[in-house]
Amino acid sequence: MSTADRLENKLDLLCIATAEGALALPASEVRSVVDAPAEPHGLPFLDLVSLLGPGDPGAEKRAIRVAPPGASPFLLLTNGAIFVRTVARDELQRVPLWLEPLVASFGEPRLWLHDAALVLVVDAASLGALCALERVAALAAPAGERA
Amino acid sequence: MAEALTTSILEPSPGGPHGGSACLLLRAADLVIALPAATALEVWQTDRCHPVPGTPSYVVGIASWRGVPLPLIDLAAALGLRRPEGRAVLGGRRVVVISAPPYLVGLAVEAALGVMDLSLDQARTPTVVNVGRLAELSVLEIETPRGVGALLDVESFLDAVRVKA
Repeated sequence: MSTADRLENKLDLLCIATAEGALALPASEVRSVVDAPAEPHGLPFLDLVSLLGPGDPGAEKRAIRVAPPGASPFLLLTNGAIFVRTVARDELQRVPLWLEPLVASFGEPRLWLHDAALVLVVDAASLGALCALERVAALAAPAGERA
Repeated sequence: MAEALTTSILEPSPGGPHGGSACLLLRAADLVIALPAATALEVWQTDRCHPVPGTPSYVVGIASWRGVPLPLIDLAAALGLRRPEGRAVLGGRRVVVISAPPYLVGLAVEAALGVMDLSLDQARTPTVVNVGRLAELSVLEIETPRGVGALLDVESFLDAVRVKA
């Protein structure tokens, strides 16, 4: 494999620890990581703490601004560790067939599985779609059930 | 009806006594569960299993089995025999690796009890094992040396529990 091919094969992932394991998305689709505003506004947001549990109980929430190509930007809110991993694209595996419908809300995620870690690699656009669904669900909920 | 269902669950093993089929007996929570032994590839043990975000709590996670990512299911929790607090964990339990094409999964169980030869006349419509999700799955009741058990249709079970509530 040539150097160019090796570089082409590399993928930087922004990994986010959650209470249920790590999620990742291509780092190229992330614009910034900032302290979460008390009232996120202006952009749709997906609160991973509500969705998947606290990544690091007690830690402050941060906001990851994501801009998927061809889709609307949004914020991911998390209080889990955020770290970058460089992986080879050919190390990413398909999710086992039996599991596919159970992770379908993340689009068609891939697995990066090592002895010590598993990361579910999702495409940012599917998180954005999930984000829109969550907003619709929140708006549709009776007022008493809204936070 | 029981006989027809048994025939669909079990493929007779030509060499088996009484024209029956070999079944693997497992313990899930306090219940004996029987599966066609031909579906089981290995009884395995591992302490390396990684949770998968967004999956139901009966999905313990994914382990690497012979280099293959293997989803692990807590059999008792998936059958509604036990309600785990939070996500199910392996906790030193055995994993039975099941091949039910197109699926390859691991079932986390309390114990693998052994193999018995089951003949058609040993199975009946459930009366005792009609608990949890077993009531909605195609199961039959069988007498085993370890007590009354449920004969599980593996394919139906795997299809039923891969639907997100």
